[in-house]
Amino acid sequence: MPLWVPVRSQVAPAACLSPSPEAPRALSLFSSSSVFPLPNSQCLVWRTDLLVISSFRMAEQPYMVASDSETTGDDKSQSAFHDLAIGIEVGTSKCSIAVWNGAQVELLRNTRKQKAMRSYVMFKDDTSTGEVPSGGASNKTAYEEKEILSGSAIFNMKRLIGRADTDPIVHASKNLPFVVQTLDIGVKPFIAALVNNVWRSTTPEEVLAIFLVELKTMAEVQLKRPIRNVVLTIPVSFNRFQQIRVERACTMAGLHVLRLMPEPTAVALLYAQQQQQQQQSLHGSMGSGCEKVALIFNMGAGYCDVATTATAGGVSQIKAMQGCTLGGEDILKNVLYHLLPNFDSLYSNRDMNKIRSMGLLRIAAQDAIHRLSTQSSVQINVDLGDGTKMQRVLHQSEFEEVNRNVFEICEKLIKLCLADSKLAAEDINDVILVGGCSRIPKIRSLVLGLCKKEKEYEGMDALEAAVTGAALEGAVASGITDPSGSLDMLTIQATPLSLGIRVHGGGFVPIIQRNTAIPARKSMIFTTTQDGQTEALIVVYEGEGKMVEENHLMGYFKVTAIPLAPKGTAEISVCMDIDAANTLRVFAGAMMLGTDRANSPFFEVRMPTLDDAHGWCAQALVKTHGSALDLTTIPKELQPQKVQ
Amino acid sequence: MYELLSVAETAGPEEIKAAYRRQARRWHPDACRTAGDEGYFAERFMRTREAYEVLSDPGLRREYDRSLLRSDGGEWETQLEGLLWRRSTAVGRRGTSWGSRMRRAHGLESCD
Repeated sequence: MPLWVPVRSQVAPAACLSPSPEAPRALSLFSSSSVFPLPNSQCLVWRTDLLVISSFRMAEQPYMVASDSETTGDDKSQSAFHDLAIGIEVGTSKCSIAVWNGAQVELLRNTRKQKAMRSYVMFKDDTSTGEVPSGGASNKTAYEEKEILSGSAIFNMKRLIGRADTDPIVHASKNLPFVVQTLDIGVKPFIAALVNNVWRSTTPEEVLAIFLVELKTMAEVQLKRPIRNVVLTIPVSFNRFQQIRVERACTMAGLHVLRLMPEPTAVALLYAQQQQQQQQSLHGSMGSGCEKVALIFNMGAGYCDVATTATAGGVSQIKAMQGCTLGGEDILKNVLYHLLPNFDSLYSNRDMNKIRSMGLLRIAAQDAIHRLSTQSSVQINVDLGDGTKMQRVLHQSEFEEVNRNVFEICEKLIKLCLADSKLAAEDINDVILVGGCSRIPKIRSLVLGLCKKEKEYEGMDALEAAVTGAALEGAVASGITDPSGSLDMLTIQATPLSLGIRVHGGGFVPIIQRNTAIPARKSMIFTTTQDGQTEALIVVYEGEGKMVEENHLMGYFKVTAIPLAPKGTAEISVCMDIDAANTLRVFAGAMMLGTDRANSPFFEVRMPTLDDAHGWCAQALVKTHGSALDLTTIPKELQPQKVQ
Repeated sequence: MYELLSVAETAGPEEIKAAYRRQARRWHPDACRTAGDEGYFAERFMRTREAYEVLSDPGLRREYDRSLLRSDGGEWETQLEGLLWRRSTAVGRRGTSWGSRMRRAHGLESCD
């Protein structure tokens, strides 16, 4: 169980012990979640956290998660075995929940019988209850798309979460109806929703947490039990900061993340199950069977992922993954700018009427894109309400032309993924296309063409595959077994991004390479760059760039007690460890000269230690210390051989 | 490494792959059913993986086979390496990765 450390402890206990005037109405918001009282006092604590969130007194998150599997490992696994984890896919545009019902995976529906619920949180002022945000899964109100685009709702949180105001994706989000402001100084962007004609600031994590609370409540009502453990799908390209933000939002919502699963990994697990069942019906036994290789292409509204997996005997091994922030949002943006070249200047002033007409145009463009999946041309007729009417025909060829850059990136990702997994198109048995954008004809033909296939793999719902896989993983990781063998499979996950440290001259040396199977542990020996150097900085980065500044700074710490020696002779060992729960730990220390014994106790540091967008810390470090604390690699032939 | 995968030293590539899958299923973190054993499972899983990576690569496997031969009666260094290796498989639970040795050396064993 994650421990909560109130950073500003005066805030939380106050709300807990003597409810503030805001508390009662905040309680009413979440009262539906207290229908099923949890057996332990934990319940009270979670709810209190929610009070703090919902009463909106939180400029900064008052909490940080200090969960550590060392101290909580037992508790975590015990609860896992008594508490079936549910699968949640929070998409950029839509979201779904699935659970293993004892025989198969079932997707939950909201009161409007939807399996795919719109991901947004509406911040609306209601005079009777105060400011009450509610999300797309809500039982109470169902908002029209028009209202969602009125500036009062925040959506696309999956695209915005864990990004600084220098991020190009944040910059590209400025054309959304709600406010996204950037000052390019490497801090959180200013994000605000319109409440009573006033812009009220929020953060993507807060929005996601509010949304998750609704999902949790909905699932608890339907499943008639408290929900705690979840398997959440994430895009391949999420870095550790983004993952932590998602985990934090879950914790705020009272959910414990059992596994974070890259979306194609979840799809791969579903594929493994289908293959397993097929083989069983063919051969009647559980033979290991022949290996099947599949390429999974997943493109939704926000992200595009490609992965290859080798499956046999119910074990799916991820061979390689590639991902980037590219999706329906980008396609929509391209179309909007094509329809209205002066889009930016038209909507820069955030006038209420302008926001409304921008929303109408968005809806029309989205609808046109959907229809172009089955038609060769569409008629767009929209009254923008401000005196302008748009009447025109959009042809498929036009659509493909304005989105050429999108298709090019898709192509590049697939080629990279195939190269990483050392596979040729001929080695692929099945091509699995999932995600909303996989319905676009050009994308289908592109993926199938690159894999030299006539047809895509059948038997998977493009919009439900990932959440189904997540629910399967939830059941498998919760220790559920199925007599018919439907849960007799597992997936061997891989790290999507390399992890390593900075060396002299600003180079990045990966210690755990991308696509390494998880759990993973790798170590490397480094040496000093100065004569008599007794201290060294271990600066940890994540990414694929050859130089550190292209990658994400995770944190740093100092290794001391390096024995006095000429440069290039002392040995500093750096070990990186990723456990099954995806926690990264870095161990480092100096060795006694000529031995493989440590000179002083090693440091074990959980990463990241920094907040996101703290890349400037690295510059400050260089400015203050120069290269005095630098490390460098030892040539490969001199690397001490590892004793097995 | 052959012991880790429970295959004969004469096993072919397909056999090794199947053996790796069997062991991976056994030691995968999701297969862990006892609270507190996750670390041990992760350790075994990584070692299985490492063995597979060596034995599935013809070049690395040749090199490893050669080192096995040498340790049966050759140089003392490789012999020692072989012994260490064997001891580690016998002890099993006590991981032999660098990280766990370090933690053991400094009394941080509880972390494992």
